Amino acid sequence: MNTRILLVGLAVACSAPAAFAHAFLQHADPGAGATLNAPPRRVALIFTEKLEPVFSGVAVIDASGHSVEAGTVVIGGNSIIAPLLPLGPGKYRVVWHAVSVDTHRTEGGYSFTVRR
Amino acid sequence: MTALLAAARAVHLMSLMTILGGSAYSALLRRGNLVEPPATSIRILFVIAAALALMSGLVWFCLIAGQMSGSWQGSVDPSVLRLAASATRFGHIFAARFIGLIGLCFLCMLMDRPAGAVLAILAGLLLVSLAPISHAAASGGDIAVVGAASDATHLLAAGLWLGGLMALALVIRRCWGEAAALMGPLRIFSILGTVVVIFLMLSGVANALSILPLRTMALHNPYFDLLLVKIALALVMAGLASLNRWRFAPAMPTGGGGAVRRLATSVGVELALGLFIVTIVGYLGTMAPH
Repeated sequence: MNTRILLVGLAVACSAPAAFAHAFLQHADPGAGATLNAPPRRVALIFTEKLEPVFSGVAVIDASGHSVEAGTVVIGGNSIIAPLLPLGPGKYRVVWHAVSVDTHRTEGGYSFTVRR
Repeated sequence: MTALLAAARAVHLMSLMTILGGSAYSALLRRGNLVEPPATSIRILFVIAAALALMSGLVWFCLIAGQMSGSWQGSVDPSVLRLAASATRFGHIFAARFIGLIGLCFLCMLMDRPAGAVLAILAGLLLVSLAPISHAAASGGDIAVVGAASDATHLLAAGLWLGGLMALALVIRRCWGEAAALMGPLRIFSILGTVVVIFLMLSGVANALSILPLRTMALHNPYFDLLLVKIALALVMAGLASLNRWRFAPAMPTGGGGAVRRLATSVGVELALGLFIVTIVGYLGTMAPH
């Protein structure tokens, strides 16, 4: 245990300069794996870092592979918000890619279901 | 490509550190009327460093543009490069930095005595300008400002140490047969080194607090493992610096050629460790700390 504390202490004392990291998905609405009684009007993704809008984005697709976003996806600060068309019952997949202002790119995806 | 990106980062940092520390230390020596590094040697060193900084900066920019686009092919795609330069924080900063880097090249080639405060300030600004695109700055909020400031301080302190060490190596070479002449330059470097190590430690603490998820971090995280290697090497480097300060330097007036040789060996090893540490920093920049 003491060794661990010592190692962490040393790390704190001598950390590397300009250590870049990645924008991870911190919160999503609808959430991953959620089953909703009413169709959502938008997908909102919150990330751990600020984003570069021109290199970040999201696609929401239905079971047949069609895109269901409506209008412009808004990307600002550390969030991506995609307005949606009126969704029918079924399973939808959210596929996102995010580039943080420290230039690192992350990608991911999850699904949610709208109940019949 | 990740290895190339890490190498470009390391070369870029080391080149700017060489000019920052080398010119600052030389300026201090001149001010104290002490032996300086040979003008020709320092000019060649700085011209090479400035050219490497410009080229590695270009490679760094192109590779990052490709990384942001999601495909390394984007690194050579003019439309991706244009978008990265015009619409991202990284691109805006690098566009300004390229102007500074070109200016640095010209200054190193054209200045009569390419080892003064102007060069140190420009190289320092070019290093500091990397802070706003660090991870700490990306997090937003007050912690971003603290993190960026600690990044900048860490880069400047490391640059003064490593670049100063290179200039010291040139001074040692110049004074090979006259150990007593080294006393002044060693005293100046010792003061510089002490201040720099204090700032390195303080900025390291602030940096870590703003970057590392200390509460949840697993000690087997690859980033952390590599960071520990860096810390171990930095401690060895600090140990060698202490040896120089308290053992080899005091022996200089009476130690003759043997004392100079021992000092030169120690400084050489210290420099090699410094280069290795900067290489590690190049890799750390491509990894996630959590």
